[in-house]
Amino acid sequence: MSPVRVAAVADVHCGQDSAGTLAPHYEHLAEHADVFVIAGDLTRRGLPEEAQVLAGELADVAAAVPTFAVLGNHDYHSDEEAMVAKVLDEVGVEVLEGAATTVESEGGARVGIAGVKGFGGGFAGACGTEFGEPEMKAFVAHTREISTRLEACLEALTDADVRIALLHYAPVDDTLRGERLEIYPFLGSYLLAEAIDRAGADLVVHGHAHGGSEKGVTPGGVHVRNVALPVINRAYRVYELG
Amino acid sequence: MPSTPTEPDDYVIGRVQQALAHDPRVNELDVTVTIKGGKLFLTGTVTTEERCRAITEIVCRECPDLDVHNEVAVVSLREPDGADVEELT
Ligand SMILES: [Fe+2]
Ligand SMILES: [Fe+2]
Repeated sequence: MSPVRVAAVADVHCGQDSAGTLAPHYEHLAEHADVFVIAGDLTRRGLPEEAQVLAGELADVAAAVPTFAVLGNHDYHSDEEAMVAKVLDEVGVEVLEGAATTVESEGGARVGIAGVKGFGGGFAGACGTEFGEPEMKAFVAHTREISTRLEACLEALTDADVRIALLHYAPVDDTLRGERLEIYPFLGSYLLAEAIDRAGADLVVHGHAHGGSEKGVTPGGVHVRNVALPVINRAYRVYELG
Repeated sequence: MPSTPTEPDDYVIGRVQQALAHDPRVNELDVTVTIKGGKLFLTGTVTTEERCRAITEIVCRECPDLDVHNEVAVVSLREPDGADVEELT
């Protein structure tokens, strides 16, 4: 089995003003990668029109390389997240919302990808719990539900040679370095890392923390990469696995 | 509500952050707003030039009495070259 090359980016925040700004920078992606993953905040405010612009920007690359995405918080803003996902699916960008899939790389490796949005709550020693007001319970319960889903999705990838967890929110605080400590609970949750470590994975890709840093690792030793555009400061990053 | 000389800086910062989050031209949650020495500074990154310009307009309208310094950068979208790969083992 030859190594699997994963191209990744997050937080493109596509709006009508983004037309023509992205596609030229994906022109050579197919030469460098076996899969392309986009870790949420696909649009500026979650409008189908914005997704349409992004679909136009991604159509060529998605035709050349298997391309997957998860939604981010911005993609939920207009309550049209299902339509955003549908518009992207139509050009071959498979949006994984609590779903897993496997593709074969050119080198014959089976690449499993489990995708969820994730959510907040915080990290060891400084996290929310399902206690008190219903709003607080609902906040943490949402993260717990997504984490449980992520674990099941990763576990379902039994036939994969390499497994990638694709999230929008951060599973660890390593990749938040640079962000203000006060907002860590809005940037991710340790529950996501716990799910990943229980099920096992080779790489976690996330975004959302624009002011964070690229590299981290889960408590169980899985590589974590924050590929938010402002963090990587280029059109995408390529990671080679296996 | 325009800023007044008596409005504490912290509330001005809060108001500017809400305006940037809600204005449909930007919907920007990741711009840092600080006020130092009577000047308002904006830092962070956005994905388009249009959004960077809109940020200046939004904040100047929100704070007509403050000297606004927009230091927000437009993110680089340059494509990495073939050698720019991280091997993970
Ligand atoms: Fe974002
Ligand atoms: Fe986000």
